Amino acid sequence: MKPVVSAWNWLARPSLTFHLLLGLVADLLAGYFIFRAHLQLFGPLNRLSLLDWIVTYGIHNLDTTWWFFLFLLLLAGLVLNTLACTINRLAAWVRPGRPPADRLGHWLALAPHLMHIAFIIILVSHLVNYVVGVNDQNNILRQGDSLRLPGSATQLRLERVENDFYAGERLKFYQNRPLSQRVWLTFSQADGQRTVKAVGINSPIWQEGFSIHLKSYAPDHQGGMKRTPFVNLIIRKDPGIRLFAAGTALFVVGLLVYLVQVLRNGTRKDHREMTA
Amino acid sequence: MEVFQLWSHHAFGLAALAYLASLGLTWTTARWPAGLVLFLGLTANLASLGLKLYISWPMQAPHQEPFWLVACLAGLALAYWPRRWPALGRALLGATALLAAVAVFFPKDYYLPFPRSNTILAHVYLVFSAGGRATLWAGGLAAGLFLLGGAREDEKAARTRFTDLHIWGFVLYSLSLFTAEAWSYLGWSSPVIWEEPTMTTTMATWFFYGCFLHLYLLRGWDARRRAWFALAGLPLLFYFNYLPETGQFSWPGWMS
Repeated sequence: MKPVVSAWNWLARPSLTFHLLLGLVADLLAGYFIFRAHLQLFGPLNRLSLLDWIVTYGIHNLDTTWWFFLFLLLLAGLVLNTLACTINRLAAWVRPGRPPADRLGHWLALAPHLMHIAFIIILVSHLVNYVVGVNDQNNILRQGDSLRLPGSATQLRLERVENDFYAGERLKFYQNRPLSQRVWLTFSQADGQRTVKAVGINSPIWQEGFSIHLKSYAPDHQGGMKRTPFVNLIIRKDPGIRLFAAGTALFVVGLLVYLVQVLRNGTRKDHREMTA
Repeated sequence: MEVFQLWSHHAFGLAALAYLASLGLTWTTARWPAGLVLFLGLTANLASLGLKLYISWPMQAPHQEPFWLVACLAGLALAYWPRRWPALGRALLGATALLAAVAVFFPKDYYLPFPRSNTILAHVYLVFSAGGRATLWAGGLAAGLFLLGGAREDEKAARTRFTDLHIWGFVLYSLSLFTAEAWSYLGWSSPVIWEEPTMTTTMATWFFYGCFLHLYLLRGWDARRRAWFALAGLPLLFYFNYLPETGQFSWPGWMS
């Protein structure tokens, strides 16, 4: 049992956090220069799952992708370190003892732990999305055409494209172009049920766990050559996206509680320790 | 619209000149002239930002951050000069004047607004990002002053201030990242898009300041050592965060 305990405590050490974080900084800065010089190698991460990217690009270009693998390794280390450290500190926080003199301060001290838990949740959600998510890019439909949602019996059909063209004088560069749009899609399920939804730029829609995003479409300007209405859709299934949203919300709560703690503890003991 | 664009450039050029003049005036005996000129510079800077927003709203043109960052730095300088911490006010003014000059002579704001910037998230992101980075700049400068002994009269307060500035900077910077991720998900279908190499430096900066906030847990990391660490953040902010937002040298319209 003793080696397990000492390994656990080694994993929970703040000095390990320090080294992992600095390692990440150095690795990402090196990655910046490599990424800048080899955009074509990392761009496919936007359309492939992590495993597909590793076997098609990553593993065959280790001289330029090493920093990405090191990044994943360091992140994994940081997650384990954060988990161990948070468990140890939370155990100390809940340990029964005398009721704290400053009850609010006792609760506010949870702020860093909230952020640490949220950090782990966010990273796990990214991993889930990159490993088991569906990322189907460039689904092009002309008006009246249909396609099937990946792995589903539901058909998706492009009905029509509606634009709200800019008609003012202020945005000269944007005249005859739409400020907003509604691309109407009909979803026909196997049981005959039909649903009509409108997708737009920055305005995806959700159907049966899929998110459908507008990549490009036509017509997207007034006048000129008449074009057949079409749409280019990104269809995704990100099982981790709710987890990601929850993690982000928890992190924001942690940040705000942390600020309250800092503002409140300006002259108190733990803040003095931090600024000593 | 070209008139508004021209006036926006003029207003920013004027702001940059005012920041430089204000920096010079901080060495005069009376403290109010520097404060007044700084205030006028900030007003011109905000007018320039307002005009830029007017000619692109509800969208936003890319590479606007240098102009917002300078405004945030000037706001912080005004908050510290002349009463709260004059030395930090002067240091912030120096950074404001330097970054404003770089923004004037190395602009990259000539791209047109793009449709995906038509969301409030794009604007909120910009404000959080510039505010966060400016506060981290202030934290680094405060740490430098602490090391120089420029805050000898109140060493403990200086120590608290440079830590607090980093905490505020980290909070704002984190909020900017979350806003960017939400925007990226809605606009590009994923919270992380592998298109811009600066994504890596953004993450590196977040990890660096996350590391700073953990230093107090480590044995041997007293305030002086932590201040050195904070100081090392300034080149990171300048080279990896600020410079990628700037372009090639060009004479401003009113000088060419």
